[in-house]
Amino acid sequence: MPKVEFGPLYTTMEKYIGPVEFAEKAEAWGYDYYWVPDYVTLSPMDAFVLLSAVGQRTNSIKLGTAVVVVPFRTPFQLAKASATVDVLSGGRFTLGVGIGGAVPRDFDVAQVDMRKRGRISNETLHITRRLLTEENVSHRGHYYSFDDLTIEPRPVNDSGIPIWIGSICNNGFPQGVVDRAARYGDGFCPTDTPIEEFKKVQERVRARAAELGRDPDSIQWGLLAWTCGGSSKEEARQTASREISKRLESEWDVQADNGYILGTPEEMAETLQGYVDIGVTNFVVDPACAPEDMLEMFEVFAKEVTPHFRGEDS
Amino acid sequence: MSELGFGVTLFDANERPVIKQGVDAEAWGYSIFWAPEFLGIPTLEPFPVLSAVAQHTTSIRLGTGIAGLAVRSPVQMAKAAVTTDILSNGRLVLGLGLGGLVPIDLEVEGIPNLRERGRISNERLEILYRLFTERIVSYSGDYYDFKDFTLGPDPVQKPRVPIWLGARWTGKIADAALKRAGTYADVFIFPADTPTSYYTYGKEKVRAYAEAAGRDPDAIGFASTMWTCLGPSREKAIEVADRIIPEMLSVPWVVPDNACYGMGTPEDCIATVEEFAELGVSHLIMNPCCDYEEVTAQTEQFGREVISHFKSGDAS
Repeated sequence: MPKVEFGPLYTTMEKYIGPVEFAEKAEAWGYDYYWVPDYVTLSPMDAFVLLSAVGQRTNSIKLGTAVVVVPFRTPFQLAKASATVDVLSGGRFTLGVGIGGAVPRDFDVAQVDMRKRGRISNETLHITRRLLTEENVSHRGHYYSFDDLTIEPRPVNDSGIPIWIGSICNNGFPQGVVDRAARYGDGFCPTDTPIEEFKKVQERVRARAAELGRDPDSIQWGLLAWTCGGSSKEEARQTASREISKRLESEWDVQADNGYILGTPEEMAETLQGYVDIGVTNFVVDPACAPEDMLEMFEVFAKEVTPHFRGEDS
Repeated sequence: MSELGFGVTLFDANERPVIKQGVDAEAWGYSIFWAPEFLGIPTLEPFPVLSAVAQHTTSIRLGTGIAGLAVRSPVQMAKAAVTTDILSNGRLVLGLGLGGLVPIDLEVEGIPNLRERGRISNERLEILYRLFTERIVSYSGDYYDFKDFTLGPDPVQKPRVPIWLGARWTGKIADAALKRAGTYADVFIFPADTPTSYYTYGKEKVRAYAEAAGRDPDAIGFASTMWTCLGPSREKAIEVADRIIPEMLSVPWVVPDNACYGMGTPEDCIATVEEFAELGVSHLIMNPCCDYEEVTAQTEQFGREVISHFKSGDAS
């Protein structure tokens, strides 16, 4: 059995604990990953700058973005910034990416045509992946053309840097997402995804990967899961609905079966097990409780939920 | 007169030396550690490097030296800067230039020529400055057009992170660069090749542009980049620099006379520093151009034997 891994997403906790201090705690609690978001307007910090500081204050925890919005950066910035964090952390970096769209205003400020974000992202990811795994890269494309570029320093590992493709499930996934995951993803990590939808998209991504000549088994599966503790699933669901609505400034009614991890530690473990059973091995824990309760939730999660998946290690 | 400051720029892409040399630079008396930015040659991204070095140092200021306006959008630049300022507890110096000294840096960004680079950069700099100084920014220009944007959290430094602007010497400094400096810079960095005879003119131009922009000209400081190579004599040092600089930058280069080149013994360098302090420069960015394997040793020697000479209370 592959190891099941967990990592907290650092978000909206700034008033209670700083990002570096929280990373130190996450490592001490035994989390495998530390994730940070990277929006233009919604998140306060630049993910690459933040993670390279975190790399200096931690020893082994893996460092990931959840997610970098691809169209806002050039492939050269993405590759160079990724290599920088990877080198400074001794090879601990994972590049989680999305194509954006949840915050249209970000596209205005970045001067990127939102309607073209899929196409821009594909070319950008194609180049980024090549720059991180090949030297002397030349490219002729729609948005970028250049000759003989080598990004240095190189990532620590010869395989480059793992790229995880994120996406929101909205009654399934468009073919563009499936294609992107199959082409560029070392992992696929959607959010808001019921188990049945997850199974469907797994099959589609695997089939597309096989068509493209990739080994479908080389693609890993993750879930970015809104998570909220409570004395019962229903109580946690209500808390999560209230808190997510506040954060997104729009009414949000949490459907418990859409990949939300809710309730007592045992209930959370049971929900997670459903995903583990279909091959999901990487959980990005996105806190859906009130900001003042997040620190405690992450500690409880580490101490009472993750041990269910540690097998003989625990 | 305020105490002279010294910065050091390192070109080493290797993890350990970069962090270690940031720590060493602090111990050796440097006041700013500069991280360069080039896409086409082996350097790390400056903002992540500085935020990493910040975790191991306490007082040295951390400068992008320099970050290219042509290679990063203003919102991204602002966000990276504020993040670095927060993670270093207010030690960032935002050194900016147009970027693109290495031709491939422009090519890959799809900026067709140097003229275009200047126009994009001007617009980006204006937006950046406004993001730092105004709460809600709307902008309408040739390249950018947006409404009511507010930058994330405030930097630690108030009212904003300091902006240092560099330029290139091409027989002159472009008037556009002097104007940018007068309009936006807290400190203007003279490139090393600027002849001493140009400083009075350059400073007056920057100050005039500051006044035209409604700023206090006396609030603007001046720095110089100083290519530095220690050696048994000025002649021997210049021999090394003439070989190393073209290698580093992949462009032809010859050490000129009467420009900011610290060449020779520590005493020679002290004389050079004094000459430029007389010209009104309050910060010198020591840029090693000795043989690669001597960079660390020379950076230390410069700190111990040149910088220490200018420390108050240490005039032994």
